[in-house]
Amino acid sequence: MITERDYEILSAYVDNQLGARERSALEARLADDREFRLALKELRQDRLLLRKLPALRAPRNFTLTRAQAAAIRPARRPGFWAGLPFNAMRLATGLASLAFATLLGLDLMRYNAFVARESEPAVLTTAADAVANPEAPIAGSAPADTEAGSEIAALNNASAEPPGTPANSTEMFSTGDAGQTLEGVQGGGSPEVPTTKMGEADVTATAEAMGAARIAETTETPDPAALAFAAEAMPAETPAPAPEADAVDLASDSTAESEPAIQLWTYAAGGLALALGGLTALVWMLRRRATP
Amino acid sequence: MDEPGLIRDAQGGDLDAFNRLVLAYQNLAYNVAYRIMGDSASASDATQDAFIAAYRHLPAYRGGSFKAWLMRIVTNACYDELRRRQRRPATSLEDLVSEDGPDLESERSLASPDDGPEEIAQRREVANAIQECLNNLPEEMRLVTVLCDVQGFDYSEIATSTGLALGTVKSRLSRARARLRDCLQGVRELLPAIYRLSDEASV
Repeated sequence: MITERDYEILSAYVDNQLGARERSALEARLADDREFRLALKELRQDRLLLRKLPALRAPRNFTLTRAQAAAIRPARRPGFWAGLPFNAMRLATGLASLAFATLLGLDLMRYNAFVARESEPAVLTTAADAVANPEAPIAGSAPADTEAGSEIAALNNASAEPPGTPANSTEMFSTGDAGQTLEGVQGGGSPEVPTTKMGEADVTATAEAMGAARIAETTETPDPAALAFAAEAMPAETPAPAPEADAVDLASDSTAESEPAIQLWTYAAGGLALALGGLTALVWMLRRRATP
Repeated sequence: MDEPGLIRDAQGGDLDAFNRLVLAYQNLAYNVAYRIMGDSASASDATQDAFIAAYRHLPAYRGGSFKAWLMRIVTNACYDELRRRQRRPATSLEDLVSEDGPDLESERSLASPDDGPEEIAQRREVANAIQECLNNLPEEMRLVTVLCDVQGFDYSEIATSTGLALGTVKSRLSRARARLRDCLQGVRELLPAIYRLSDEASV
């Protein structure tokens, strides 16, 4: 079976357009394959047929008369001045394209600034929510620091010990459910999470509080001692994220400050693109009017 | 013929020099146009348009193969003519005449004048059958086939004349030949001995 590619090679072979290696490979195949030989013969036959088509004599002379030549405006090689309007249009088009690209870039910068401003407070809120509600898992949280995690797990286990706590509740803590939640809070990982600000002691205290709260929630009959402990410990931690929020606000303020400058550039680039577009259109119209 | 000298003079506005170039190339230009267009009236129009365009654009010719440059103009003129024809399909009286037989006026072959009437008739029959097969090819395939197989251009000349890459020329030519092979199956029956290959090329 001769494929399209085989036929292409055969066709190039007929025209002596193959390299030495392809040629010898084809000749080896031709020696073995009768179908190939037949295809080659047909190709040569058809080529010969076309070559032997009668050469025709032009039915008349196509020379130009003086009148015809005078009517034809030769396309002269454009000199600098003759080509000036065209070059001006080319330059204007190029500049307009540049202005457009700048405009696009500035728009993109503005968009990025907007996205950054919109998303950062959301992260803060999520982190704050997580502190307030340790059961809610935080998406994309990084693995927790193992030392802190194990400390928390130990605390959980210790907190789960009070008598009267149902066995399943203790088991749940020891298998790491609360640990995961706390890990989520810590690994919320991000700078907004109070881990770095609070220090290890604070983390431990928060963990204690959260563990106690968790115990209080999961225990069918809440342990009043645990609830009291949680209530005592939690308020001390809640103001922690405030400085972070301020920092983000400052950052967004600086972005907002740069916006007028970006806007100015955007308007300038847009105005330039419009002006150049108008200039190109004007030159084109003038050229068209001048051409007979 | 001092072709570079004639081109230089023609570029300087010497009409006689240009007309000498026209006389040197008009048979080739007309043949290419005829094989692409398929009829003598359209081929004549395309050839005339091509020489007018060549005269207009001669100042912009920057050296290289003049033949390839001119053939590019001819093929462009043929495409323009084909497009005009597609926009305004019409059957000319000349076409109606040629349906019954060969285009006698344009088929004044440059082949041997010693051929007898029978041989001339046979040649004409084969030529018409082949032209019919060429006409059935898509335009872009027809062009490379005419330049390569009918006019004997090499691949690089075809690439220059058509503005195509060498690889494209190669693949188009191969596909065109595959189509022609199928179409020419019937024509082979008509072939007289002069068209048959010698034994060295046989299977």
